[in-house]
Amino acid sequence: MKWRFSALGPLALALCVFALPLHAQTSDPTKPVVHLRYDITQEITFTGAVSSVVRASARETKKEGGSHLMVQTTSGKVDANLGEFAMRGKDALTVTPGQLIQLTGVMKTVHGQQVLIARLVQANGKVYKIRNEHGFTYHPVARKNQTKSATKGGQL
Amino acid sequence: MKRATLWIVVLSACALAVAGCGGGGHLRVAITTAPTTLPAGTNSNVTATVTHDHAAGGVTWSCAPSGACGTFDPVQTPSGTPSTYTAPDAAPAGGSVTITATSVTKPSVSASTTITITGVATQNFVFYATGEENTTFDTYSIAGVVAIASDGSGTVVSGEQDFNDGDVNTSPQPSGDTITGGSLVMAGDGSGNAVLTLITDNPALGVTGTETFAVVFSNANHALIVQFDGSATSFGSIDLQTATTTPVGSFAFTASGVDPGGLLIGFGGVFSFDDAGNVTGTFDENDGGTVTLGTAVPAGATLSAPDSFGRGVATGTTGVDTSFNYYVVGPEVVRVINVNPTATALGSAYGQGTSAGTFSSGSIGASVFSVANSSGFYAGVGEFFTTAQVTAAKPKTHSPIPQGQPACSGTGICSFSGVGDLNELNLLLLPAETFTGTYSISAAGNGTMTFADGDFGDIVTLGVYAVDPTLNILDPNDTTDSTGGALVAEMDANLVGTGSIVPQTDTTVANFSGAYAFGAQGDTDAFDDEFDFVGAAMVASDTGAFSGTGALSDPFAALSTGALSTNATFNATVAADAINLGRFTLSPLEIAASDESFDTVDLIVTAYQASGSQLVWIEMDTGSYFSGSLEQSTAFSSDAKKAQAKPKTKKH
Repeated sequence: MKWRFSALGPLALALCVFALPLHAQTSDPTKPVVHLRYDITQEITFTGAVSSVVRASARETKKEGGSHLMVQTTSGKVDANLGEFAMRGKDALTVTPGQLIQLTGVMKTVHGQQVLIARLVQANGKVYKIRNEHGFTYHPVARKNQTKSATKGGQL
Repeated sequence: MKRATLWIVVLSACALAVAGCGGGGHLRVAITTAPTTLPAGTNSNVTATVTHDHAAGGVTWSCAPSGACGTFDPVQTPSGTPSTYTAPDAAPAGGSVTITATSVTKPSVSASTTITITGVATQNFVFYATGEENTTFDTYSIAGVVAIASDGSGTVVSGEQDFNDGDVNTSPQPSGDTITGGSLVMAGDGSGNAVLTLITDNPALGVTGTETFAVVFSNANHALIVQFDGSATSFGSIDLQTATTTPVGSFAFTASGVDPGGLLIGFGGVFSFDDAGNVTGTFDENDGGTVTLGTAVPAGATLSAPDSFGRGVATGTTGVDTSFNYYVVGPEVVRVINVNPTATALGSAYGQGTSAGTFSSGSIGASVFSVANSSGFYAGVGEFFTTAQVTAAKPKTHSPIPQGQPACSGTGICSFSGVGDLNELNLLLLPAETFTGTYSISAAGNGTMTFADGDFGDIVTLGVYAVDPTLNILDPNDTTDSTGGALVAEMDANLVGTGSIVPQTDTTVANFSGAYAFGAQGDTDAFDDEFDFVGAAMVASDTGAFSGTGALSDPFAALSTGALSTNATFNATVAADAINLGRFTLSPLEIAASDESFDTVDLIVTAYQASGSQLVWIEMDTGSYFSGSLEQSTAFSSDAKKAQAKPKTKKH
């Protein structure tokens, strides 16, 4: 599936529709009692504007590893973790402050702070798959193999 | 009668004449069998004949130049009886040796001949490692064989290898890369630390084709290695190769890597190889959290006959991957590497020996385990004991001694209970976490080990694959200690990783002392980048002082300020856990540079003791982790022990 920002109208609508409270969903009572690191039933999707892109060493930023996007939503600022590879290497995701993006992921408490473990990032007219449904990040080799096989564009 | 008397006289005269000839003739020695040329390190029969030797003393063999001319077995032989002459590991100056047979009866009489010695005798070592490349950040795998001169020079004579990141760098197939030279240079301090340089014909690898590894030997046949030339960093081992023929029998197997879609992938299974190389068996797979258990290997999968370096190819559809190469370490140990240019994976297969087909849940008892994935940013280590299946509540503390529980009877489901340390790099940190669970092992040796829900963080289910009880998983040429256990692979939706279970046979605190080779692989939250290290240390039995030297590979400046250093020092104090027998802390483990080439770091570290000769350890910091092993060292010289025992001055 491809997501595209094609006009300001849908964008504004999306801003309204997806600017949901971050903890609106509750756990599924039918879920089997198996501990899940990334529980897709807890996913949320929202839209916001990038306020900053954090790519510096985590030792300096005191954040968990990988790159982060600080995103301003109508519910407040969200720290989105993109993992090790999304903003590194060839064909990496590039976003700039002020840019509107859509994020899908699961909120987790890390170092006492709420962080979105991002699975999908919709930006630049593409949907970037950062993680799979179990929360595993896609390694850079995925980009090469996708390019090589000339399959659907957009995936990281 | 006259006629008879005459004959007696004649015969006596003749006898006297013959006797007179023998006693009065010259004793002579002649070398009747000897090669004119002989490859270094090989052997051949040599024979000398002694004539007129009334005492039948035979000969004594010797050679020149002394100390560099080879050996004889036996050194003394009767006339006409061969001795086995073994040529030196390298030709001496001049390229030839002189062998001499000297009469035992009359030492002044001897014979000599010259033998031209060709080439250099070598020992083959199989190495493998996995880690992170510097420019692409790809996970990569490397495996190969290197032939090192046996003459003590450390000259790398030849070899071959496969390198694969599934992205940019994949060794050409089917040839692989050729190792054309290099060297193994020991540190010179008797610690077992060394640097291995491999010159390859692939300029895309290492630094324009030259790969450099830091090495620490725990004994002459086994070492831990890290690549530390800056092009990449990785962790693995190198072991003496004792066979080069096609593996035969039942093998337990695990491997992990990255699939063509960029997701982490792990495998585990039990395979059988027949004399023709046909492969049968089943395997479990975890592809980015999607788990498939018990898939049968499709018909037609085979192993090609290995080449002279013990390198072969898995052909046909194995179900795991169609592009696996393998390297034989010994009759029961094989390293495997995925050479598919769109994916990477590395692993091992260990024989099941005479226990094949007779395993049960009772095959696993009190054990130490470790599981990790440097590309998955986590490690978990711990210890547990097993009992018959119980439904007891999670204990608050762990004891390796079952507390009144009946032993696992063997078949069916059994329980385990233990304590472990888990570090999921910022996402979860569980020090000294007690856990319970259930497990079962089939007769084939495969099974699963399931932790009670949430007991041990995101580690929920491990695939378990039992190995020959006489095999040492970490040091396969050492059959004297820490043998048996199983390979493990994560088989849940949360994590992908591999590791091992080693029987816990000795939790005596005092036995965690003496000389150790150590190594580890880790990541930090500095972009989740990797660091690796190896070294040699002394652990004082009285004070618990851990004092070591070694090499740190930190090309991403993940751990410190960036280092490719063989001047790293490692200092800590070992303290036994008063509650959990077999668990130790080494906090802080101070890693510093004796030449101040990188900043000092202090790490929180825990170790679990399988025996005095083998432990696993884990770093338990919030934004950084490592896991690896401590292996008792016989490579450590007494001089090095004295040097290491000196107290170190902290650098800050």
